[in-house]
Amino acid sequence: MSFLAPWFWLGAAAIALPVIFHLVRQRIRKRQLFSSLMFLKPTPPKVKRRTRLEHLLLLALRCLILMLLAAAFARPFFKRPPDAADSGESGEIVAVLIDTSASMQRGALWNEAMEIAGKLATELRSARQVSLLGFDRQITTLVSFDDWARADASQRQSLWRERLSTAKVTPTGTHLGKALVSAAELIEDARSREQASADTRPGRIIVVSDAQEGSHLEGLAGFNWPARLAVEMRSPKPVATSNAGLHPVARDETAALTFNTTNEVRVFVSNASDASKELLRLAWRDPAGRASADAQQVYLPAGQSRVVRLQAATNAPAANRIQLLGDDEPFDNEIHLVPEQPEQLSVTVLGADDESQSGSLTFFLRRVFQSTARQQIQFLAVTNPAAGVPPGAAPDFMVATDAEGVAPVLKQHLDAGGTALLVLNREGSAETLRQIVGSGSLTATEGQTRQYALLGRIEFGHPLFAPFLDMRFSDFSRIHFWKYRKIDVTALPEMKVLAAFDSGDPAIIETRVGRGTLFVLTSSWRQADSQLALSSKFVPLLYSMLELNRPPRPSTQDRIVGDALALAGFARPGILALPDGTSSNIVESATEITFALPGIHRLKFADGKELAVAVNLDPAESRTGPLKEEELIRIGVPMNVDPKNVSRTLAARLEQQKDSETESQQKNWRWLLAIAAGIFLLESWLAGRAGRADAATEQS
Amino acid sequence: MVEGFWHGLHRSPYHGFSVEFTEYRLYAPGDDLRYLDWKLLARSDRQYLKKFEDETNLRCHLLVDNSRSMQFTTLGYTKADYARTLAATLAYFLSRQGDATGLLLFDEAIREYLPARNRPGHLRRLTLALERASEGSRTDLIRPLERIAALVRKRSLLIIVSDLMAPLDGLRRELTLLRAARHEIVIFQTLDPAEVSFAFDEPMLFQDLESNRDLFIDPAAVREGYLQRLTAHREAIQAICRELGIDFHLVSTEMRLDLLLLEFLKDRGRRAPLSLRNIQRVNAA
Repeated sequence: MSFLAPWFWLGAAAIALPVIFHLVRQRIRKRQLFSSLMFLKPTPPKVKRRTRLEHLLLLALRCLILMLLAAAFARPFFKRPPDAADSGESGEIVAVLIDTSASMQRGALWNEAMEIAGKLATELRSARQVSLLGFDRQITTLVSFDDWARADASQRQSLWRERLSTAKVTPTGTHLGKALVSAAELIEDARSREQASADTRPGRIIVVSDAQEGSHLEGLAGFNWPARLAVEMRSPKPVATSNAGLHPVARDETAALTFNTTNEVRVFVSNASDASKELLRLAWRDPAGRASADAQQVYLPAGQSRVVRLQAATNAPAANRIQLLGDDEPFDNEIHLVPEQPEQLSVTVLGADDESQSGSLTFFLRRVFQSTARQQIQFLAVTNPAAGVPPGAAPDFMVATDAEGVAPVLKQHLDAGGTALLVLNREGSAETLRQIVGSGSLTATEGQTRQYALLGRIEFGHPLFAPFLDMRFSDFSRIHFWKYRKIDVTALPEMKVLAAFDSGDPAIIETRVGRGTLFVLTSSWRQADSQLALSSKFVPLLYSMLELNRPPRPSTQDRIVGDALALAGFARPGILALPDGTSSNIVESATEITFALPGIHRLKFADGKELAVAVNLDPAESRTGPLKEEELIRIGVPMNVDPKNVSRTLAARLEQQKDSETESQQKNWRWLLAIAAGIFLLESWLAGRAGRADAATEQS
Repeated sequence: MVEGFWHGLHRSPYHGFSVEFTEYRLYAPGDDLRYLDWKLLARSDRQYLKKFEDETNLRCHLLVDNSRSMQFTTLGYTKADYARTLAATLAYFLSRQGDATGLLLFDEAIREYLPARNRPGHLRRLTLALERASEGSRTDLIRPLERIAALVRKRSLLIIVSDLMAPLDGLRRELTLLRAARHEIVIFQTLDPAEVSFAFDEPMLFQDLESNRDLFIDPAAVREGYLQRLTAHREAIQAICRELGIDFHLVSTEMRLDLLLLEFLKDRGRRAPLSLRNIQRVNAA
């Protein structure tokens, strides 16, 4: 018998305690009845040592309980004879994973990997079930368990080689964690299908991979590995080359702006931990592949990385690629960049008040809708709409005040499917709203407030309030409204009250007019009406209204191979021009497109809009230093390694992992605890009986 | 025992209540004409007030603690035995005087109540009640006082016999209420000599008679604290008594009962005239 946690046996030393207690237990035989103890304070009894043990049976039982508890905590188990899985018997289920990620392009890695995988067909000919899976970011089944089972023993080798030859290296990252989990689940499925076998068949996952540092191991740490499963790593001979990688830095809005204005770009350069070359160069390349003359030198020691600011090539203005020179492996030496084009938006204010007044409606609106690197906002303030609105494209968002001549223009905008916010800024009036909805019965009075009104009820389920859904942002109670208009909302079509004051009167109303959506604010953000403009909620609320009709465009930067671009908001069908010169059609029903190649993808949509997306290699793929098996063992992967070939600590860890698995199957501690509980009951009964006997003796 | 005192009755504070001395007194304007002895007026042409023969002068209620703490003893008899004997003696003495005697036996609840009477057989019922064994456990001083205040509306003499081994919260209030109802109160605190001196030697397990709680106690270590607390408790009671004009007697159960009665009656003799006159006037009215 072995123990998983033998140090818990130290707990057995606790049996000294009952022995001592049995020795020193003072028998207070003398008892004095007394009228009342209300004037007495207890005195701690003086302990007297005795040499004679009493109640030997009780003592033995108590010691036994402690021993059993210590033994249970030490987790005992019986060692099993070596598993049949290790000897490659025919009963095992094997999944072979072959790495097809970008880093396999290095040197002769791929050929060697194919050779190793090819030989496995012979090695595994007697296995019960075998499957061959290719993995990178995705998992591709090359030979399924069913294929293997259907083929004759003579056909299996040819099937294996045939399917193996279809595997190709892809420019994607190594998601080893995901692949291992999937393979383990496949083996579990295969086991569950085998109903005939009473015992769990041994399973094995053989990974043919360069086992690089940058393999994504997410999902492995918490994974509950099935029993009797071993993972084996068959790596091709490591390439003794030096590799450095280049990747764009995830840019914020200001960085995107600097790329456009100052022609400076920041790139992330990393050198692998086993690299021998430390002097690297960065050069721009134009679409035709011509390198700029002025390369920038970068000195980077092995295993380190840094962000480099690179000036745009002055002599090659069309350059959209940066190349890293000076290392041995070219697969991750190029990045593609596209300048981010700001989105064009327009916001019109109808019935704008005096912007030069610091508390006016337009004063605040002008400051809310400002251009950023991503959005170019055209802000138009129309003071007198009756006199005519300047011609131009329909605005994306319209803010209207309750002023003369606003109603016809606003109604036209709404009928065309636009979104607008109507601010009832005139005391006791809702004239514009009445004109728009065409209801003669719509009346407005001035709302009654006791000093001020607060927003009492808010429909946080509505998309307008989606940015405030989090508890940290949902406090609207600091916004005081001094004045508001009370309107009879029943006259509004398809009306929804999105926010109401604490008096119950509506504050923000959503209604449909024509094809468009109209939000009505029954107060305003002028200083005389409310503190809304001074609140942190003001800007998100207005942008929320703007984006309801026009969702923000997805970023065209920082995409890696295998990423998908959602096509919601784009006019389909369209055409996708791939970096390799070919093109494909985007069908009308497509919801997203996945980028399978690095380079600049150009999308052209039905409405003539164009979008260029730069797709680069997974940055983790550049970390080509070897992945240590210790790392996999540490996160709980049941690695099958020969103890002779690994370090002593690793061998001990592996042994412990196996023991832990055996122990968790046997669970002997439960029996020990059950016995201890039984003895405890017996001990309680005996102790009770002995106590009564003692008391009877004393009384007599 | 009582017979010994009978001769000294003239000096007894209660002699003034006997029928012979108070049956007739001269009529004074304002007296109730119902009590005028018309026969005597016809015979002697003198106006005298007449008392009914069966009316007693004094109502006395004996409040006797029958809790388990009274079962404690280091002598041949318990504190309860001593208290019951004291109560029975007083009852006999008073009934012989023609006074009405009542009994209230209490522990944490009222166990027995006999209203004050002076009828043939009443003394026997009273002594039988006193012989009843203790049923209760702890001592509650407040409830019997509340109960007696509710039961006894006419002013009377209340004699409390107890070890008073209980918290004193509320005791002052109840005694004040009784005194305000113009009852006269006498308290006999009955303690065993061992309780007074705590003369135990070796450490042992002390068991509370009332709660059965066990405490390991080394008497040598706690004696001083015990005596301090006991004295403080008694002084608190004495302070209340002094303030309210209550007659307090600390009685050790080793004290001879006849000597105690003698002492008590002497004390009453010294103190009674004023209060006696008050009671006499009430009864006359």
